[in-house]
Amino acid sequence: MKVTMDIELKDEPGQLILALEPVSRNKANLISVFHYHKSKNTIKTGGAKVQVQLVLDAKGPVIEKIKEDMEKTGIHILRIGEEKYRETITVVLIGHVVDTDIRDTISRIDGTGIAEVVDMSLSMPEIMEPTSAALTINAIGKEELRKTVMILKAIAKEKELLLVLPIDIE
Amino acid sequence: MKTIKASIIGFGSIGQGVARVLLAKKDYLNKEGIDIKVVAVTDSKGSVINENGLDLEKCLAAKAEKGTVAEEIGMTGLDVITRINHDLVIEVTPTNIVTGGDGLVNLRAAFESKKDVVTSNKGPLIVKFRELTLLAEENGCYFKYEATVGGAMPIINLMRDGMAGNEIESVKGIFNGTCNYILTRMYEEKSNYSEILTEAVDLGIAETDPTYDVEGIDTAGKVVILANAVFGMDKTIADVDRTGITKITYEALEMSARSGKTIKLIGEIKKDGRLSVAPRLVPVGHPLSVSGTLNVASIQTDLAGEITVTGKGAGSVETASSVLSDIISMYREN
Ligand SMILES: NC(=O)c1ccc[n+]([C@@H]2O[C@H](COP(=O)([O-])OP(=O)(O)OC[C@H]3O[C@@H](n4cnc5c(N)ncnc54)[C@H](OP(=O)(O)O)[C@@H]3O)[C@@H](O)[C@H]2O)c1
Repeated sequence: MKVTMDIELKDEPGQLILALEPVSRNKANLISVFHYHKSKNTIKTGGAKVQVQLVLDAKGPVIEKIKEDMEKTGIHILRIGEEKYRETITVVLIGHVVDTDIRDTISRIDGTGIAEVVDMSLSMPEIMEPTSAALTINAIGKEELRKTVMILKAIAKEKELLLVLPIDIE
Repeated sequence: MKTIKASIIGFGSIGQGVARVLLAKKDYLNKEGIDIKVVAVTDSKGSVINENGLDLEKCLAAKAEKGTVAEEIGMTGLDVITRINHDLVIEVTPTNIVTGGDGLVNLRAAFESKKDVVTSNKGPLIVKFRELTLLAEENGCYFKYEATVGGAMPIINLMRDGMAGNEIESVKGIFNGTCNYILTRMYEEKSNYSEILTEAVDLGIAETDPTYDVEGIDTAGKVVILANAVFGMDKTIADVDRTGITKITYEALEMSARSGKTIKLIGEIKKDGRLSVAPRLVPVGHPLSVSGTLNVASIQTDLAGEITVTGKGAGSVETASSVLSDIISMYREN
């Protein structure tokens, strides 16, 4: 599960490290850290506080544990929510898709933390004949989708696969 | 009435198509104040000349009966352009995208002798676009080439004239009927690429050596022409990121269809200079999802939004119609 956590820290050195410690201790995957530098997005809190947004990937109970640990150290959690994938694309790969390790292909996309292969169909007419695969990929946003397409292009080049992209992709 | 003396250099499918449309549209042309008098016709064997105007019916009949129009054996297109007095060269010889071929030699000679040019030959434009447009300008000649992209489908003149004032963001399209036919038929017939290629060759839709079409080279050439002619770029084929259709499988088409999509070979020009040719997934019902040998182009503009044109990308009379419209637009108002 991918979650976004908006937390509030005192505006002094060492605070971020303190906040991230429960994340690493509980072995969650930290995808991104974003500082709101007194932007309009900052929820009015008063005092010398800064707001930080973390995106984490971990199982539900682990998230709960992180939350508890953070609160114990006095970190204020403003909001916590499951990250929604807002973009989705289907691409086609043709060639020796399976022989070139389809699991590696998928895990290189999933491993980015910003996108996930959510569906795959494979069609292998005969041994030695090229395989065709359709992959449906979800990404957090447009920019993340663009990055994912770059990764797909690199994989296709490296594995000598034909990548067929949608017409409306940038 | 303005009399325009013209030569037709190349008398194959398109050259003969031009002769037919000139015959069929004689009255229409006259109403527009234009009288086209063809003074020379050339094929690979030689030429036929009549400075008072040839009988095009007879030229067509001679070509059909004897396989050539040549009465002046060995008299080349270049000879006609440099030696015969006329105003307009209709250059419709075979395309050579590597050197520009005889077409390039003919076009240079035409401008140097102050003759206007209408052509369907992509080669010279792909190889030496800038040089040729400058040469035409310097010599005060018209230079028109609507038929080089999309056959009958208006695109170059549409973007330059019909859409003048718009900023063009991008153009995406299907510019090769052979590839479109193969992809369409593969899905319909549940067949693989090589089976349908054989069918296309038998029907005369694909060449015996289909490389130029199926590897996306022809499409890349058209992308280059549009980039240079409409976007004012200075590109060559080497600037196009190109993938053809030879690796497309029936299974890939079938899988795409399950999610409502089809695969098409798409040429794309972006205003930032990126040029590409690649198979792309196109939703069924999308303006670009035309079937068979049709061509299509979708033009994205700042003011008009998206404009899509579709039409026959090849064919004798169809392509000749673009040559005719170029001729009319050149001589109509002046
Ligand atoms: N076919 C289409 O639908 C289409 C569509 C758009 C653009 N085009 C372009 O239009 C051009 C003509 O196509 P096409 O289909 O008419 O080709 P084609 O049927 O092969 O005809 C070519 C003609 O040019 C003649 N020729 C060859 N070399 C010549 C030379 N050095 N000087 C003078 N004549 C020469 C040939 O002579 P012989 O008759 O003696 O062989 C033939 O008459 C090509 O550049 C093509 O790419 C074609």
